[in-house]
Amino acid sequence: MSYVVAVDSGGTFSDCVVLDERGRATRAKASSTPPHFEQGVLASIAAAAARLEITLAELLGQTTLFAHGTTVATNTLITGTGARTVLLTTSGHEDAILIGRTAQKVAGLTESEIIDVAHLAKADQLVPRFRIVGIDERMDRNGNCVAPLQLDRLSDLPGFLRRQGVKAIAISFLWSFLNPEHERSLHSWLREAGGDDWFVTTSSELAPVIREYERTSTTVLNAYLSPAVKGYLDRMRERLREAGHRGAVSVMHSAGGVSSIEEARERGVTLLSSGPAGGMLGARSLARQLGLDRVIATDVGGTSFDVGLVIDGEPAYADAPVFAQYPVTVPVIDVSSIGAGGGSIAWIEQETGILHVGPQSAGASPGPACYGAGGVLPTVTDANLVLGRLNPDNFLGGRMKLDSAGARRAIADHIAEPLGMSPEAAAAVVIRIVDAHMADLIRKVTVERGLDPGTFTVLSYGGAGGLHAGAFAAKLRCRDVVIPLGAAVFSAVGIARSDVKRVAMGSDPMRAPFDLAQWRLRLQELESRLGQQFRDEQLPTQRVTLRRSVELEFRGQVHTVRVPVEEGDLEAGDGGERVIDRFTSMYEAKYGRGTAFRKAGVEATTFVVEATSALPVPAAQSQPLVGPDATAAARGSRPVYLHEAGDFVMTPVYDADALRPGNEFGGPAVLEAEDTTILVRAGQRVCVDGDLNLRLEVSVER
Amino acid sequence: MTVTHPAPGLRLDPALFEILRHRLWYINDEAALTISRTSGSPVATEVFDMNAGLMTTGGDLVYIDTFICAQATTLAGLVRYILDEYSENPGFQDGDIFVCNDPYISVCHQNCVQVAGPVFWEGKLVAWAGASLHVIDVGGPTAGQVQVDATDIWGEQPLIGPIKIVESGAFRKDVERTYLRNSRLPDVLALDLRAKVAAVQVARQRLLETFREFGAETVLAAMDDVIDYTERRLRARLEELPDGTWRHRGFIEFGERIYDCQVTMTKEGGHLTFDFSETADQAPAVINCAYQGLVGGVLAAVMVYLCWDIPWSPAGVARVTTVRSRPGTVVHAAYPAGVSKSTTTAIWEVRNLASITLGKMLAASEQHRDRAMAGWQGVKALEELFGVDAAGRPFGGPLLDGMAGGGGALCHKDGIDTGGHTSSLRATIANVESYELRYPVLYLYRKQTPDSGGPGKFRGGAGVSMMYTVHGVEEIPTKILHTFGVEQPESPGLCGGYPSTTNQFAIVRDSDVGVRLASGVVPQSLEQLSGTVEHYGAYAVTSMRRGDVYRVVSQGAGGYGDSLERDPERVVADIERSLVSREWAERVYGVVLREGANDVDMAATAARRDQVRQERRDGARANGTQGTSAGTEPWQPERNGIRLSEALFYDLDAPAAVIRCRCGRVLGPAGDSFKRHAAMARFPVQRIGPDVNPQHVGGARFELREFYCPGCYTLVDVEIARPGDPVLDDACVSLAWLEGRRS
Repeated sequence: MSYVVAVDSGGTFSDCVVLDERGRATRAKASSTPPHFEQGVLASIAAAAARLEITLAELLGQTTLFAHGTTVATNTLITGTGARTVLLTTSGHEDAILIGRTAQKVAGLTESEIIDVAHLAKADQLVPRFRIVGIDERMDRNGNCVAPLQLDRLSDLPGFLRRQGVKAIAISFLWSFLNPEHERSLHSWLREAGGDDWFVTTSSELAPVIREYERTSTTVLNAYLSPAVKGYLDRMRERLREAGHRGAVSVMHSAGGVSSIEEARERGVTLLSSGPAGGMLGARSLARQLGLDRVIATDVGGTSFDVGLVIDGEPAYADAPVFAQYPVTVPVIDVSSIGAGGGSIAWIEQETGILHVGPQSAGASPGPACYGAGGVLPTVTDANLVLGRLNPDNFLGGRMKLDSAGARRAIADHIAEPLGMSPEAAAAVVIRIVDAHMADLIRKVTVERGLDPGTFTVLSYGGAGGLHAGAFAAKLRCRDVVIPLGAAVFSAVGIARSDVKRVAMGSDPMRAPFDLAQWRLRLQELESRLGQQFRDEQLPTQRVTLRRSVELEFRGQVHTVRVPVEEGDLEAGDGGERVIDRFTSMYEAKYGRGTAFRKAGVEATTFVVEATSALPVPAAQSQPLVGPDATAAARGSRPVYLHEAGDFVMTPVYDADALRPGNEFGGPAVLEAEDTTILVRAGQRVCVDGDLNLRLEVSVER
Repeated sequence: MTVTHPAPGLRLDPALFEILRHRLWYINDEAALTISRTSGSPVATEVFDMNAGLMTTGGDLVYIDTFICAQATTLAGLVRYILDEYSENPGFQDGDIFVCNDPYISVCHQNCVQVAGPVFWEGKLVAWAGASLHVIDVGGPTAGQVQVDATDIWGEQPLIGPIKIVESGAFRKDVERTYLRNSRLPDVLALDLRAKVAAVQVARQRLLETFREFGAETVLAAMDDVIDYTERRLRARLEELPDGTWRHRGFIEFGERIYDCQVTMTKEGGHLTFDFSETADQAPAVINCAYQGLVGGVLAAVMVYLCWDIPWSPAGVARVTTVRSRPGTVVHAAYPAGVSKSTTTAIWEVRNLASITLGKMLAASEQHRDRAMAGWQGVKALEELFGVDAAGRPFGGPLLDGMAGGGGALCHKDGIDTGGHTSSLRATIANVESYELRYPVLYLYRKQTPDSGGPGKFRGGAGVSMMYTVHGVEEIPTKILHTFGVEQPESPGLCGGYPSTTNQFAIVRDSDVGVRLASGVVPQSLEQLSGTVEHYGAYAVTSMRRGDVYRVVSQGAGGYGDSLERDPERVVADIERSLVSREWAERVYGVVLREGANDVDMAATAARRDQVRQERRDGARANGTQGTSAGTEPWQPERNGIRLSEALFYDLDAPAAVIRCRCGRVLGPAGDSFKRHAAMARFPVQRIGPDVNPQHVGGARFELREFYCPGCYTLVDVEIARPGDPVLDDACVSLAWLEGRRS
């Protein structure tokens, strides 16, 4: 037997899925172990091996591909624990990243955040001003050297870097995307001076595109994040190898594809949305499979709540991706997050006595009070337990006993007593607040963009999703909720099924009529760069599909249209007229008749080649429906607090893993799967489809 | 959890209203962004000097976007004109779009060309969509926007329209030719025109989709609801703030003349009145603005300062805002006064004045004083370049780096360094690479200017400065410099905070910059270069040749509170960030550092701060204005007082209410301006920092007046004035309102 193993390592849990040759999936979970995430990853694989009744070594020995999504880059950015970084940039432009084109203060904000002028602020500085060093050198707009870089004048630099205790260096010079000579020679000079002491990243290699602020920002983020990413991935690969893995390793990147570990460890910035991107790819394939044209994909984990949209079968890409108010020039699937999940801590603000939930999370360690691992602060999971929504004896398939008394005590001590209410009433308020937070984020990505959430289907995954989706969907007037099979490890499945994807870009501004031989040269350069990368990947890729395109604009425009380029276009000998015609019609389709103005002149800015290749991952088969009767899965009943009733109500309990295709019944009901629990509220109905997805029909809250 | 505000009387249920109000906002936002995506000029593509507006059938603005406010608030004038004058002849129908650049009808100045088109649903007019963009050249004697020597509008750019340029969806070639014919850069102008037309078409298309999805009546109700809701929320906000009167005075220097601009802002209950009638008569030059510009500047200030959680619906804001003015003045010009530079003179000044009076009112509100911002960048230093590039193609346009001004300080935090300006929250400055790609220049630096943020307990945001040389051509034949605020800082501080630096222009002629670069050195100051330095005033037309180096300094923002109260550790952090120099840390903040280290010498700092307070006393004595000698007795302003500003309160416990400093000193009776009873000293403007008119351009036509509590000598206000000007009566909270607080 051979296997594909995928692990999505989040802030609280590592989710593992093992796919065998026939597409059968085995799921397992283990607590995350920050900052040593690799331990949790291995533990989750070991748990999966145990379920398959083989050893970890046997499983990994037969694993052809290990696919990984990791939160390490995000975690590093959020906690501000990135490498001590120096930015080396062209003299006189040290402040570019601080000025942030002035718009840094509104980057990534919504309308309502922007008009709150008194609260606007620039980004937290990843590199303090005294660690930004101007280097005397200069290229001009033609890539010609105006001021030579004189390395012999930089003798003080290595000493400065050492005194500052620097771990990472970002190099970003003006016009380096046209002539990378100065960046390259400084890079190799630093290597000679410092060996492997410093992680060095250059803008011309990472993001060779025009516009120095965005390029520099991307490069600085990469320097800041990559040492942590690299350290983590190296440790993880080492542990996998020790445990017997000999196959390939791929890592999910934010653009919605995977790359090799060699690539990922040098490009930490591309992993900023690694885990959520996996979920969004899973959402894309499920939306296509189920024929859903508007999907709100929601992931409730232990630490965060992530939301993205899949419209007409495609996840939305961020127009101009921004992380922590810094722009990045790499493509990123658009996912919004807040700190709201099972581990979110409930607390009372001293000054006002107001009850808050999150954004701090108890994470995996110490975790919620009910984990009995030293946590004393009340969390959302504790509240769910106090309200009977979780079964203390059937959490993670019974392998983890939850401490109900501990949960009750935490709620009582920190919430109920100060507020003068019962622990149950306090727990009910905690849940109401976290449900509202989740609804608010969904509103932000739908209503605040003028989209009616009522016209979307909610896709709910993540271990804690099933207890909250019914509530926030009702608030948002969404009628349909899909809870996929294996919801708790859904992102991991998405990661396992991702293609290898790589985009190479290079700017070379030129004006029509175009020199098509030059185009061919540019595109071939990019293709050979990609070819080399694919050869270096050591991934079991199948046939590589290449898509060539060029970004065109009317003279002076900045916003370009990406126009596909076919082989025939390059042979036409027409100065690019065929491509320009295509550009013009794409342009007018978007902006209206008569808006194209060819007389202004057409310019090509950036050449793009996108390469994708599928990995050999088997798919599972649908099953026939057996009928609505679910009594075989019934497991008695217990009192559960229902918000719609305002009290505890005896509620039937089902074993979700025993439900068969076609089963159907009404709420209230609690469905316990091994790794997640689903609450069907009174008035809602649930049915099981042929792929064992749960389809929830929601009555709308007015 | 979402904070929900009571919204009684809406036509729609609250949930539907919420969806549709955001949908309408996004439609307008998409229209505005369409301009930047389809224009060919960096003015739109990178700087976002543009805007869009969505209007009702009657031309009431439902929404404007968060780009240049006044470019969109003025759209209402265009649509009303079309409705009033053109409804019969030539009439309008589905698919039509009008173009206009007449400032006496709608636009801010002739280069902010607007378009607007009706939206029809089932044959009925349902809305108007409009777009505006600052274009590079529409003709006139001088390239670009500033008509150098014009004395009236006949010496400025040709006025176009309102005229129908798109008829039933097709461009009218005859009209377009007439429009483009005047321009030095017709191709750029044509693409900019298409950008605005595209914006209107996108808005139209999205609106019609929304009509289909929700039904016409529902969407139209939502448009009216947005306006009503804004009005109601803003009235409620005003009710939370103290009634009273606040004043401010600013100046526009233009050649030999100085034009005073003054506002008296009165807030009573749920209504605001801005009275500009004391402003100077209009200039025989390009710096005036017409009425639409005046109103646009005021509305922009009200939205930025008061509508932090209220939709930016100008029609709603206008219902609670009255603007009074005198026709024939700089801020309300009468035809045929010149207005081609209004966007960087009179309209800015209007917004400065309206903003700072609102800031002072907020500073007097215990509930909302955390929202009181000192003046953001008072005006940017600007330039335009025109010439022919190495390939023989004409180039031209503004370099708008000066927009990276500072953000105003607040009572709890510093202003945003290079934060932009309030009139366009989403404005950006272009990348250096983008400018170098289009213009024959090579930047030597672009940086945040040290000591440029107005000093205060909280510092104003730093401004920007840059230096470049000519590159790739022998000559840039036309270079127009224009601004004001060169002799006097235009970004006012609040509650005793100082204003920022001034704008400065300089060119070193025939320098050795080429040799220096070739030797591997990038020069970082004018002083490092050989050659002759020329300094310029607010306004100049010149040229540059190879080897010349240009340097510009653009204003930062005003500070908040007395700079002697700034936490010394914050000053140290500013020094480490190259935002404050050691010299000025000592001079203006009274913070002394240990030799060669970034540690505060606490004893020396205390001594220096005492010394500064003594200078203040000496200054007030020398001036003969030491304020009242009333008694000082301890009291607890937070418990017994009604706030007037950071340090001053009204004491209602006395039989007749008085103004008191927090130190206990009584300044004078409530009802008077505190300034009449404060100590005052007068200084040259250069007192604030190294970049405040360091070349003494214009001599000493302005002075800096500092007002102190006569007891503790805390700095409570700063006024810029001409030496003979009377002290401006300011900040009088209404006695009736105070009496109402007594109970």
